[in-house]
Amino acid sequence: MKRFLIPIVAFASGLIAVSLILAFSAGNPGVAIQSFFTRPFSSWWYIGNTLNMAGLLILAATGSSLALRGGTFNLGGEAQIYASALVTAIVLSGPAGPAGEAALGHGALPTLAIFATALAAAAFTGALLAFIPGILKAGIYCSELLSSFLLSAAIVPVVDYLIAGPFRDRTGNLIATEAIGKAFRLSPLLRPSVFNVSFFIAIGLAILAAIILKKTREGYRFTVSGTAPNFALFAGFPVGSVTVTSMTLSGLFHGLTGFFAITGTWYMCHQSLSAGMGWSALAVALIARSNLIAVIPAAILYAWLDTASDMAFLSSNSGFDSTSIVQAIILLVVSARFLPLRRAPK
Amino acid sequence: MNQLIPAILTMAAPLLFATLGALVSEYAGVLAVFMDGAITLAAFACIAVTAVTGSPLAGFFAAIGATVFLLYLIARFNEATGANPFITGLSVNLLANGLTSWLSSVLFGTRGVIALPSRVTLTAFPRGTAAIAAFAVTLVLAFVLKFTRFGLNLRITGTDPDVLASRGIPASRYRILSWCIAAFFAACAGTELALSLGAWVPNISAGRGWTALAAVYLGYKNPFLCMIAVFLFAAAEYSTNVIQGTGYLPATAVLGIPYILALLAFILIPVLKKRKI
Amino acid sequence: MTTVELDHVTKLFEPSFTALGEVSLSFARDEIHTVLGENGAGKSTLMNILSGLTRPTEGCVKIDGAPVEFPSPEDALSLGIAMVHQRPLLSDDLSVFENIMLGSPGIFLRRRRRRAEIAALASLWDIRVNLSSHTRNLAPSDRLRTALLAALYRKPSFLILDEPTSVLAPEDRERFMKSLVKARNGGMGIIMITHKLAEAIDWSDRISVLRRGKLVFSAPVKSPSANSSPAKKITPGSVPSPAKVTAESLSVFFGNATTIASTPATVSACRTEDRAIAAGEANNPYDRETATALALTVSGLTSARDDRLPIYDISFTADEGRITGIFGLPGSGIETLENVLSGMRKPDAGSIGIGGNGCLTNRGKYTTSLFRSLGIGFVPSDRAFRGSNPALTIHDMLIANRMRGEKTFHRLGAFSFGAFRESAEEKRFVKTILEREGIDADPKREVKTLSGGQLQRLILERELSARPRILILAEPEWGLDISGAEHLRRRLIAASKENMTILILTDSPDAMKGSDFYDKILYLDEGRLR
Repeated sequence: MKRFLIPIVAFASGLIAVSLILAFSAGNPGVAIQSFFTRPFSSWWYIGNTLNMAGLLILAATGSSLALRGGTFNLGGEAQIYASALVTAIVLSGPAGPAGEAALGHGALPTLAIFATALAAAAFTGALLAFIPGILKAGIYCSELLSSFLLSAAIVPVVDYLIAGPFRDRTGNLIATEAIGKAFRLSPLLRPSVFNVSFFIAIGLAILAAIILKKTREGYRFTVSGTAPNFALFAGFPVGSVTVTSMTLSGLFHGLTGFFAITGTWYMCHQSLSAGMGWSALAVALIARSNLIAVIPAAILYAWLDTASDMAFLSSNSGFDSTSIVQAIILLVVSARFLPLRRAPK
Repeated sequence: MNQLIPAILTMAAPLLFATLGALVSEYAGVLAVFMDGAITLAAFACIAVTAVTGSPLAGFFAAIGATVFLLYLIARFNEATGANPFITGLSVNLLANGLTSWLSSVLFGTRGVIALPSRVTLTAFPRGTAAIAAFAVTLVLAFVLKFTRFGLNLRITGTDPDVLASRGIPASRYRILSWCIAAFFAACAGTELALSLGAWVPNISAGRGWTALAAVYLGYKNPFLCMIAVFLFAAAEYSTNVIQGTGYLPATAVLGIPYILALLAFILIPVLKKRKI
Repeated sequence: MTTVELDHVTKLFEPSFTALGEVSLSFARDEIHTVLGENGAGKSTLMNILSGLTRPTEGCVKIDGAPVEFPSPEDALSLGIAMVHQRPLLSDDLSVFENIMLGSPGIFLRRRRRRAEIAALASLWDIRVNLSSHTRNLAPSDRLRTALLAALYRKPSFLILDEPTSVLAPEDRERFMKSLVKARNGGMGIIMITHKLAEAIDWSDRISVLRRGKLVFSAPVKSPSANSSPAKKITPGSVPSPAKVTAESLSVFFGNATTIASTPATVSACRTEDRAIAAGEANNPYDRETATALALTVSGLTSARDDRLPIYDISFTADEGRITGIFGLPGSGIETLENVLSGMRKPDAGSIGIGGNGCLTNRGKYTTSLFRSLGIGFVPSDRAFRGSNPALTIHDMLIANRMRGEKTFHRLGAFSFGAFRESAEEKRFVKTILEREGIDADPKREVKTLSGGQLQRLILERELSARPRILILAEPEWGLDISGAEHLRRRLIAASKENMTILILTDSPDAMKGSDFYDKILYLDEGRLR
């Protein structure tokens, strides 16, 4: 039972922090706190959207967990999701977008092929952005925490620029790309929310990854290289290869998150679409102690916390960046027991 | 041309403060990833208190107090729980964003720019004070590092904490102190940025915390070499501003430059170091 | 301060290891008091308690008859007890001078004045070391001298030295011991730990012997009364204490005083189980029913680039089916040799070859996985982080050799979702090893719950059950008690009889008793093989 202590404390701290802030800043604290706890369950719209966000978090947190299990830290999730989302939106709009569909007629486009291309492109983008820090670490022992973070921080403004500039959809008021074609939107299963099949895909992938890690020789080498790099090196395991693989896989999952964010949730890429999702995914992975199965309930709980605080703040007319505070507190609490950084094998 | 050097020096002052803070933290073995957030927080505290009290000096002290207090708490937390200082440092950045956003909307009703009323005099200090102060502090730090017991112990806190322990010196005390000192320097940087601008804007530090880390690496952890690196970066920043004015580079993309610089420094410096041996 | 004593000191380590049992011993100034004992007898633990590095589980340290407590070594130091460790802890980033200054009081370093003080001190004790040199490149003997100066600078009343002459060349030892005599004459109390009988007798005023954590003998050496009156009998019922303190009389406390039942039946039972496991490992690349013996040939091996402990032009052959030993003092380069032979470090020159087929010439390819795939097993000196890892479960640690892929991975990790793990077979394998070693531990628990001796035996078993053609062991006897070392010898002899080539790298030659154990002995001195 002790194992669950830290995650529970983490969530509790997040809850308490939000409640305290609400109490101090809301016009009517009682109403705000009440809506914090009850609003998310009040209708299918809230429940569905929370679960949908949870699905995205599951995907991204699986990515973060895979990196952690392989002995690396992927801190570049923000850009990996964001850039992949942009790539998805670009591939699935333009000629594939609503205008193109209207012009070329329904059924004229090889839908599956384009969809698959977008999926591959998004996965590739995320994987590439994580591959670079991975290879830097394996080759010249450059800390992947730094390189992944810095690369992400550098790419995000570039994506911002691309959305506001060359790829902007001038017809709307929102700073966003053109919407993707209707054929590529995952149908909502729980109207009026956008909850769709991506939730189940996310769970399925997390479980699949968990099975592979636990039951195959590959998986054993992977996790042992992460937990005990000197031991793994000494035993003849390909530790450098594991470093690169874990980062790349992590980026790939973040790329998938970006893909499903567009095809399932927003249908177009607007600025700051993924803001904070990378950190949330890391927080969820840390809460779940990098256990791929535990990521599922952790993501759901986190998504609820996030939605609830959003609702509460909106209802109290004080909108501000509460998510950051919650993330900070959760990261602080979960990092308390986290295993220390492992140095590169000498 | 007469204006060039003073302009670059003035631009260098906050960066130099930040670099000194990052340097102290680097000696203690912790990468000061919290610098950016700490600078923003300090700047906010400074502006908030200055706006209320009308005294920039009060604002300066408030910045020091707030930043040192927060980082002291987190450093204690690190030592007590064995937390990964990189993650907790990043959480400082998140906290800074969230706290400033919350407090600014609660106290000032806006999440955007908070400008100081014009009646508050900022001309108390002549133009180049900050640069001179930064230079003086660099000298003091270099002296402390080389000629005092504190400096000796600090220098190996990061690389040989077990040696310190065997001499009965608690490395944790020095780590906490290094965070407090780094916080103090962040407060200096934040105050300088805020007061010279006369306002607080979100993300006022604009990645300077990360450039500071790059400068620490470029300077091979030597205070004087770091100073030279800072000057180079300030010159780069100055020219970027000039180019931005001409419209060649998209403004938003330019925001990513400090991070690219820091990344390049982290990749190239260890590689170059290795070749030199 | 005139006396320091240990009063009924007991020290227990988790989970159930008694390092010291009710030891009472007193030390006086103006005396060189040597504590003798074998590896694992408890000498270091005793000194660690005396110098403040650890606390006793029971009993206490007394200064001039009054009990004291040392929360840290600094407290002991400020009261006048200084310790010089065998492998001193110094900072590589500082100069010798700064290392000496570390920890001493005062706000400002006052470099000039202190340098003069230290230089005077050095010439007083006839200790020669360059104060300005960087610690990074110091030889172990100079590191010892630096640590000694650091201790002497604090003007201690008692100086504790742990195996001080082990890193000194023979010609320096006498000079060193003479400095100690000078210190004693100046009123200092010297406490020395060593396992070298002759040295103890030549230089000490008093000798105490520890065995298995208990004090079994303590008597003055040089005073005339010692030879006529019987020495103190500390533990009744033990081996009778000698009346005269000589090397021969003391040697009764060392060596194979205990007999361990080594019935041939046990040895052959091991062999049978080995074969059973080997037969079950159908896909083990090492499995050779007719184990062809292979020699390990090393030629011209050099690793000197940015190495504090270089090796030059090492060439030797470990003959097939034989036990070869390479002895080297700490600092002779034996650590580097271990790193190169295991693949953890690539040599600058030279080559390594298996069997008579010539040498592998592509040095760039010398990796641990290559060596492992060629059938070389390795028991490392770093058993905590290379031989195993405290965070792994015992199960995971033991099955490592079975989990290597049949294909070597390319740089970008070509994924071949190899066979699924056969968990029932894994469990059986782990259970067999644990039972054979008589270690009652739940394989799901973490490695850190094992004792040092247990861990070393499990690592050895793991490597042996992979049936490598060549087995290289580094410091295998370190930390093992007498029965553990016996057991190790037997296993290795049995393995060599099955045509396994065995190479042992060690820095303490007298641990592996018995000249019939090694078929060939080589010496490594300052990076070169003699």
